Amino acid sequence: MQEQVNEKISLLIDDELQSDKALSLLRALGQDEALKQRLQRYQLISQVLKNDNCYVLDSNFADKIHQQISYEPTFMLPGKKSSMMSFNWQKAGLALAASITLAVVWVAYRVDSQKTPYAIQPAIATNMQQPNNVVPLNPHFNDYLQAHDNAVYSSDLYRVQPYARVVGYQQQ
Amino acid sequence: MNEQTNHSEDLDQDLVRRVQQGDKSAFDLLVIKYQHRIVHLVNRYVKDAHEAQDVAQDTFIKAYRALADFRGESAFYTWLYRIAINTAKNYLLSRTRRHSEFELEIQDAEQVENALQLKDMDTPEDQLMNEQIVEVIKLAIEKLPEEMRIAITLREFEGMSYEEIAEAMDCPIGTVRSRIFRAREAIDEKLQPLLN
Repeated sequence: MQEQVNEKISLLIDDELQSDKALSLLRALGQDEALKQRLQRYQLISQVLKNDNCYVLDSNFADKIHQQISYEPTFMLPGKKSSMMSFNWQKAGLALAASITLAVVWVAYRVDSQKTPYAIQPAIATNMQQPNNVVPLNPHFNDYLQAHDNAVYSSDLYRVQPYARVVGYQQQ
Repeated sequence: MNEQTNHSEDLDQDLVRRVQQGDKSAFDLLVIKYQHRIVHLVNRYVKDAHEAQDVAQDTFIKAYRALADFRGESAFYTWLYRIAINTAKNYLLSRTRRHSEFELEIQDAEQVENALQLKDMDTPEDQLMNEQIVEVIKLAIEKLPEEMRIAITLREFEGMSYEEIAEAMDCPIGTVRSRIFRAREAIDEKLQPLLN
């Protein structure tokens, strides 16, 4: 058992240990002074072989940093959202937008089919007041405009935009 | 990117994410993992071993403080490496300034020069100890069985991955793993009494 742990330390310093195993080993190292010292000796051997010089780390090197870090504020950055989550949100958003569009189109269609353009004339007429100082449009001129401008005026109201414009195709 | 780098970077990313989400203990693990490399790196600039360790500690503290801004665009070690070099250079600059001020106070330039030289050296005890450590390790390497010696040499001197060593030595990767570990164990057996 101990030998397996030691072998993992050897793999860790060579970056050959899988990350999940390395994480659990590092946790064990944090709690076991003997293991931590073994890691330091392995690192020292590696350093001497690579560079032909050496220095021995203070045994409490990491502890000093740990102490200083304990006075530092803790980060609370939001974690990364998983791609699956963001994908679902996108889909839900699109579905909602499509539903609203469909509902609006359907309602508009129903209103169109149930009411004639002229049915809303009284409502508009009652809601809007006719300006007093405007000269009424000549009825003949209005007929002319209807015949030649391809527009159907919603009422006799003055300065009111036509509520619908019709296409003059095959117009009699 | 080879497999060993992937293992290491995956682990680092995981640890960094944990720290960023409030797990300070994950930073301890990053310290344990990189302490030796960082001290060694700093030691190239700051010759005094004790000062190098202080600067290395500062490096880790600075890294912790800056970790909120680390976005993982480079590998964690590359990022930490840059912080270490900057910290070491800044330390040397501030030390030079301190010595310049000191120099104004005492007129004897030779005395200052000697003081600086002494500052860059370990104590005689430290030096002796370091020489002994190097000697013991070299001797232990020479006494290793040939297959172990070759495996650890290829790893440490040539920087080869386990996969490359397995190919070079024409053996399974598990054998390489075992040989390198056994070599370290054998060297450690000789080293341990010296350090205790």
